[in-house]
Amino acid sequence: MDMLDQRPLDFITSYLAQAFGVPQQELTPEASFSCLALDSIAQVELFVTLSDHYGVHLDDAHATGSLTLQETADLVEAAIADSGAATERTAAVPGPGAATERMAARG
Amino acid sequence: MSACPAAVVIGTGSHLPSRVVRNTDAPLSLLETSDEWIRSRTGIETRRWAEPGESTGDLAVRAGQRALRSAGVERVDLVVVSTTTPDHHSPATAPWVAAQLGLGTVPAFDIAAACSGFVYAVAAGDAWIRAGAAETVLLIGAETLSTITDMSDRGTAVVFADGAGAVVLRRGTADEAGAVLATQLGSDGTQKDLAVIAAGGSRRPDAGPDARPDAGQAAVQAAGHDARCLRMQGPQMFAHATRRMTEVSRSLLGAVGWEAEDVEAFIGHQANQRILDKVADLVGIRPPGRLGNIREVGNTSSASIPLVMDGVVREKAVGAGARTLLTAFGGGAVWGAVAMTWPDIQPVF
Repeated sequence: MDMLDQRPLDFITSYLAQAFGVPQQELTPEASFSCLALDSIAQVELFVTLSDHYGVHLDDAHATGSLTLQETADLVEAAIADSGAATERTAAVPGPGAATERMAARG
Repeated sequence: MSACPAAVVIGTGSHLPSRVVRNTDAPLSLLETSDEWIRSRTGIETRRWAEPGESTGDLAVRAGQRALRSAGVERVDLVVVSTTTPDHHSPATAPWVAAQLGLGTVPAFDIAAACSGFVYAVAAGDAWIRAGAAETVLLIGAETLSTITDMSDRGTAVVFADGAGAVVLRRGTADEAGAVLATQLGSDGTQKDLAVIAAGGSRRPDAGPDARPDAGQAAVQAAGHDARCLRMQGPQMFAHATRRMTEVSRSLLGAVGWEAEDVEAFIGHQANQRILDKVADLVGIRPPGRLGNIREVGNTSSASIPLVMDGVVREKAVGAGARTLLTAFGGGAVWGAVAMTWPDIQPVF
């Protein structure tokens, strides 16, 4: 499976296990960063990694100890959706040429 | 062979204060922390702190002497000192350093770009040389961060350290070992609170109490002391530093046409081992090329990159001509990167 195809929750659990040695059985969707004894720097490091991996912007203000892994994954999913919607909006906006053609047709 | 003019590194030097402070030494031992905590979160085991009365300028002079000797030159056309802990608000530290080095009335000025100061200095020196305004330039990154550190603040006291590193640039060509090939700099002033010394500047000239008037005498005194020390937002700093150094490194690699795996020597500002590892991972720098000294030296702000460079020259750890990437991020926020080839310098002890 391509890394970019990996679901955010799977990516998050894999990363926390590999980078910080968190035992796999503790990495449940409901687990918060506080419960996992991961400090604020570790959480920010994960946010930076997710932003870079999925090419999206994640607001670091969301990086609080009470945030769960599922909620983190949801933030990434939402950012991906926003990113996709923005791309579609950009593609749908007619360029100057198209606007000129419509104006000419009206005239 | 290209004859494109370029600034070329022809000498390096460094100086560290003699006082070694381990994680288990006072005053760090008095903090709510441990050797293991500091090592795992910063990568630092020891750092050097200047003795009382030992200034940034003093350290800069020693590093500058060694760099001039390494380069085999007695005169330069420009002296630049990058520092966030100058000897005085005014005058700049560089003219005094130049005088102590016997460099006469040479142009000399300071650069204040926090932990990115050295890459800003390289960009400035490179520009002076390529513009024909100087044949040789002495660049010194020097800091006494211990003088602006609140030793009761775990987030900064365990990290910051003192030291100085220097390089000499000479006008040459881009095909020479040690040539500066490209630089990129950036800033984002909206992030000025990431790392800030609240008092002492024109916005708040005195370090007077900033606590609520009813907070009590001890709190008022503590607030005054705090205002003279560097405060850092650790997690936010981590995020911005990692993202900006990654972005500027990728951008510069693209500008010079290198792939990440082409980089044989990578020196990031020695802020924190976790930041350095993350940037190197994201950019794709292979581990053998990741160079640093944070374990022994700590975070010396704008001195950190030239300190690493001089250490590598002394250890002969990198071959002349190796593709080299320097990058830094600092309070301001400011960041930058330098693409160069590794200089052909014989160590001078």
